[in-house]
Amino acid sequence: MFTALVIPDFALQVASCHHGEMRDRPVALLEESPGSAVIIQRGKAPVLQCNAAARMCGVASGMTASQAQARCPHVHLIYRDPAAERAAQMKLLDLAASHTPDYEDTAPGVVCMDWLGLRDMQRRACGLAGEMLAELRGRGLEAKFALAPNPDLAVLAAHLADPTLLLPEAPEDVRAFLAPLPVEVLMPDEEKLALLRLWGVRTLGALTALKRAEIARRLGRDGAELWDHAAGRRQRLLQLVRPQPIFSQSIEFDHPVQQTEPLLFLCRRFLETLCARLEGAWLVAREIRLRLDFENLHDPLQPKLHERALRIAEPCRDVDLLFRLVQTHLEGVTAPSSVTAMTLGLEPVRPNTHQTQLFEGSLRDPNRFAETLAQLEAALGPERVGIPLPATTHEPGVIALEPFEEKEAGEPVAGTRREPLMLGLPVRCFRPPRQARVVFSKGRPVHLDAGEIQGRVLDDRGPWLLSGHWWEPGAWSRREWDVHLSDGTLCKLVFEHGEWSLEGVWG
Amino acid sequence: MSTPPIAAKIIELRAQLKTQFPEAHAESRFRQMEEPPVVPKFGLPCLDQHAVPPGSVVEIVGPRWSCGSGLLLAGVLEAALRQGGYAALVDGRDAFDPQSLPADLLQRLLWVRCRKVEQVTRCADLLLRDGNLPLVIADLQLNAARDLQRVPGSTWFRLRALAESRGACFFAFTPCQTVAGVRLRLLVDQRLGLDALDRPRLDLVRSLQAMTMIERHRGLDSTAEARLAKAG
Repeated sequence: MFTALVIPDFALQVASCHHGEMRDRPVALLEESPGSAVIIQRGKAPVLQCNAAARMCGVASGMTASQAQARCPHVHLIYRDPAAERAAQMKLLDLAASHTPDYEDTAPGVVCMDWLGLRDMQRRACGLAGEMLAELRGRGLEAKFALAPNPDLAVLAAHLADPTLLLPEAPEDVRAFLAPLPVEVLMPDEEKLALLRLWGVRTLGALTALKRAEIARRLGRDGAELWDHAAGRRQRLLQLVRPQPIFSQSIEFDHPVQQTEPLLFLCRRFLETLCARLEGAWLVAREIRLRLDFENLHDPLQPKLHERALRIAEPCRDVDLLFRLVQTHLEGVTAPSSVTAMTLGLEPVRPNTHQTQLFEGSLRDPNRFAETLAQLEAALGPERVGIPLPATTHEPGVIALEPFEEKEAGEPVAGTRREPLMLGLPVRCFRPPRQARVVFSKGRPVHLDAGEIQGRVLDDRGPWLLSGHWWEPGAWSRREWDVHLSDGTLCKLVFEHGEWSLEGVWG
Repeated sequence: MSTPPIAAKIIELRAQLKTQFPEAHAESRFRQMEEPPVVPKFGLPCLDQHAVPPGSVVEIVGPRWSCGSGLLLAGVLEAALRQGGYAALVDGRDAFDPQSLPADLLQRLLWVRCRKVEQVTRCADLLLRDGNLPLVIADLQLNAARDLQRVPGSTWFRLRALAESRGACFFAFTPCQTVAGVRLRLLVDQRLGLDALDRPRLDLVRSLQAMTMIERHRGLDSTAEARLAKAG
């Protein structure tokens, strides 16, 4: 046995449920958002739904707001509230979940419940219906309830209910029973709905009066299913709502933890549990999210927590591998104070199903490489390892690194592609630049003294004037010289902020 | 014709080892069927004239600041990245300039920014041990010679063993002769002027010249082999 709970004009009811004064007035809901009760300023938004009072004044869904106002000057036009609709739908599902574990989120404002195995459903149905409808009425929503042998018939019957309809057996003439219902209750797509309206088919009776084979020939398989649905013949299984597993575990310590070993022990336990959940859901982990909360020592400069997302090169649910990544990271963390709480989460993702290259991909073992990267970052720091990004500014010395990610492999980069021709020698930069003293004569540099690198200038080029961001407080401006010293060194000199510095050597 | 005493002793020692440990000297029955390892070509005449198969350790010595070793480093990186693989640059003094490589190749380069020689050897060890990258380059050109000389020889031998076992090429750019047990050591001492800043990079790289300081093939190094050949 199946029951269906339907909230007619769901979006309109949700938008107006908190405005009791609108109940007896003509109200029309516009397709647009935001807000839930805003008087329209634009005249072109289409009307999505309207209440009975508005329908009596000639307002219908599909007409524009200005047309609705022309027909009914006193009509209240309100916007949709998608957030409120989602919340109302969640409450509807919670209501169904409180009575049965097997229920389906059929459509906005529609929920279908399966009572398979429950005895005396007919006897219990009246009480159940009253309970559910009263609960929804308390929230300002008017609903309808129906009981039928199959879910689709239950949903369609709910539209005919006033407000409850119990059909322990399917009616003898189901088609005639469902005939008065409008085709919109079948929820066809926009294209088919427009086509049916064009044909003059506005009710289920008009649709089922046509031959099924002819509908199938014109609308295809979807059309045949629509006909079966209208005739109450469609049999299907419910797509049951199941609670989403949570892939995160956390703990608050009774006593702050000062050492890494207890944290690692707990991380291992968490990972075993979370990986088991992943396995049960046929998922793998793409990222590990670790959070450590520190003891508050009333120092405003002290960080309160440490949060890090560890990306896994090749998503997996191998506990040993994930633990090694966490262990490598934790061993490199310097905590400002004791740890009071820890949270470990995994970001689930479907396993990768594409076939890797048969003959050697770019990285033989991406997960092993991810561990190596974690060890490098632990040794040097996270900003010291990665892929250099091309400069997006003309300001010299701006460097950005991004975390290493494997790119699509393997094809040699053809030298015949259009690429800018590389000119000149590469430079080895001094970071930070070395202080230098430059002696000028007749406007040309003649001697350089930068500690280890010094000598007479044999040849020079410059000055090259560069500047940028002049419209911002961080404007920069510099003069560059390239000089050739007597010992053969090619130097890149920079004059900035009133000082000379040796920025690098060419070659 | 008499064999020089030192070389003769070496030959006798090898024979004794072969007798004592025959399994270590057994030729695999598949070895004859194996194709010789593919020697990568870098497009650099000064390098390609020497066979640098995977698993080799190469040291490029640049005795001066602007001797062309940076140019050779950029050439090796560009050649390796253009072949579609990945490479790692372990930068001894955080001196790499990303603009020295075409932007489209940067996505395949792992840049490890170190400050000390100890960090370089540690990071090179991790990358070679990992075995995923076919090319690891350590740029120690700007590091002080006294810091390099403090690195024990066993460290370089360990890196060589890792490179050989993982089949990765390890290049070290140093200001002086540092790395022990290298397969190939080249000295780059090109005289460059400011006019080189306007020339196409490809021309500069192709015109680079390097002197071979040491080249080892399987077995004895080339100098000992030459002596033996001359004596025998």
